[in-house]
Amino acid sequence: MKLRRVLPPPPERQAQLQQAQALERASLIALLPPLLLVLALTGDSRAMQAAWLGQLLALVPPLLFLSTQHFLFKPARERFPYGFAQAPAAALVPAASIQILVGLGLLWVHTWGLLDQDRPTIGSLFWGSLQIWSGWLMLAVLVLTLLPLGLLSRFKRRLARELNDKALYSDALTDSLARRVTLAAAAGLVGVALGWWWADPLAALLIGFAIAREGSQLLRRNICQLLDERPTDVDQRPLPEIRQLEKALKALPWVIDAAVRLREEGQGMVGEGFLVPEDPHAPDLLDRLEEARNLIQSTASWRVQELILTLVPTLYEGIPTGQLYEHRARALEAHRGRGIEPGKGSGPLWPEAQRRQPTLARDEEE
Amino acid sequence: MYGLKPEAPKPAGRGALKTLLLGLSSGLCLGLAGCDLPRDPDGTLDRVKRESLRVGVSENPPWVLRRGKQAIGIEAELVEGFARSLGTKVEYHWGHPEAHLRALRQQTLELAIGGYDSSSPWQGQIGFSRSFYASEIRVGYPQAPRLELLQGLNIHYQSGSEVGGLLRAAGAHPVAVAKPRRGDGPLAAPVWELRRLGLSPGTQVLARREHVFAVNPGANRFLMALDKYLSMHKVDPGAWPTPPPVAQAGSEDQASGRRPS
Repeated sequence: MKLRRVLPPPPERQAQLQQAQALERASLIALLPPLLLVLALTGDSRAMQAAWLGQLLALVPPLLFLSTQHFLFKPARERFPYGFAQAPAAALVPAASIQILVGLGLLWVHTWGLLDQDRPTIGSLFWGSLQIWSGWLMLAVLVLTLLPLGLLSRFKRRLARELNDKALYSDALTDSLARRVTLAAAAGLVGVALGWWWADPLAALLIGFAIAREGSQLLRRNICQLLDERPTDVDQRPLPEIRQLEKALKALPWVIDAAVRLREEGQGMVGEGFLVPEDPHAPDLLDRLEEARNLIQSTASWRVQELILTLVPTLYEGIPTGQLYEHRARALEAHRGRGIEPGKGSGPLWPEAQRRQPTLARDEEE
Repeated sequence: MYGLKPEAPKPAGRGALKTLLLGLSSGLCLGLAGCDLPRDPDGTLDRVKRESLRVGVSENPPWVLRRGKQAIGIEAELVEGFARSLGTKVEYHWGHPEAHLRALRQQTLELAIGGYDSSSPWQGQIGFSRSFYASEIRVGYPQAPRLELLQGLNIHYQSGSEVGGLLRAAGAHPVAVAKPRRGDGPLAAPVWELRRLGLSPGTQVLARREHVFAVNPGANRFLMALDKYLSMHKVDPGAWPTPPPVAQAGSEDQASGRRPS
């Protein structure tokens, strides 16, 4: 069995990865005191209880991120020949499911709370003879927790963009969710202070909705990645690697057409490259293939972890075996007749075959 | 050649966050300075000051005792004092505690009294005031032992009270008695009652009950006024000159006297 060679990230990426891990560790520490403070002060306010749950959920992605980091570049082994780069995405699936359940639970409970007129009763704290309404303290604590949440979310988002790390980006989104639910709880409390009792269960309801919605998006993103979605950046925009690789392969002088298929694994991507050689009987075909592989390895971004190059007679399927060479010759002639030399070719070589069975996704090409 | 172009990170709503923080903190300052906040959803405190304080009362000595339409006892005295501090009168409604708590939820009463404590299962459904008295259930002895061991000890308790279960959970052997007396040996009861019987309480706390008033949920301004009054008044159930709830029913006439203050 041939195991996949798992490449370590280049040194500058390694530094960023360590930065990300340090950030995640810092966020675990930074999120705990606000969590305890909010828990200590949460009285009868439904919105504050819901916000606390949102902040508690924000602890899950950092924990998962840190616990799956050592999987990312762990060497492949007999039982897992493709390595473990998908571990963070796999770990986030159950976390997202739990988040959806928590959000739906909050929605259910607080819909009834709103219908039953659950009015939040908030007492006072006494400092000697000084009386302070606990609501003001709760509001102060909520506003204070906004700061670390906002900062963490910003830092993580920036680093996740640079690393194209989906797990880190999910974490940044969860922090930003925690910030939003904290804001909602604060708004609910201000409403309660103004005498609008419904502001509190309503804020809790909205918090439940936000948590469930964010959870479902998290689940969707990670399931798509596990389903070998095409490589995208953290904002779900397609990455340019496929087109760049195809262009580079098509530019090889001995190749008349080429296509590439890529999927994402962890921070990197892996896939296959299909090459149609001009002369299938050339004696140095293997050397040229090795040359092409070296070219890809030396010029492609580090993210392209593995590209398996395959020689194929044609990019299209459905051509009867007996007619393959005749078909190739005809197509090549037509190709040259249009004044396009191999290696500079673009556009489909066998339009009639493509009409018959467009099996290879070529929608990436404009 | 194939490297990704790093994207410029977008400033994600930084301005919005700052504005919100600013707005919230200025709102906080205004609220603290204005002192008009928090408000009651239905103007409860204003209504109480204008009309009367509607109190649901249920008998539970020594907290509340019934004298015709009127109520006396520790909690009744606190309620009267609170109403006086607001310049209003008290309107008593005698009835079952459950009915009172339902009425509180419907805003048809402002207060319910009768020995409620904060561990009530109604917690979260209605509001509770701050605790005006913490009552601890302990074991009292004619002479306090140096080392208190409840394991296997025969301990008396008022029959029909929760104390029997607490004793069993602590490993003691509970003995139900109708009228606990001093000469019977160890007795488990609230500390104020032990003191009245002349027993010295041990150190082990079987249960702690924070005595509170049940209040109209969500009436936060009203609750602030009540909490302020309660924070300034200490009570001592042991000093209340009524027969203890466990004593003979025949001597009830002693209870008519107000506590000398």
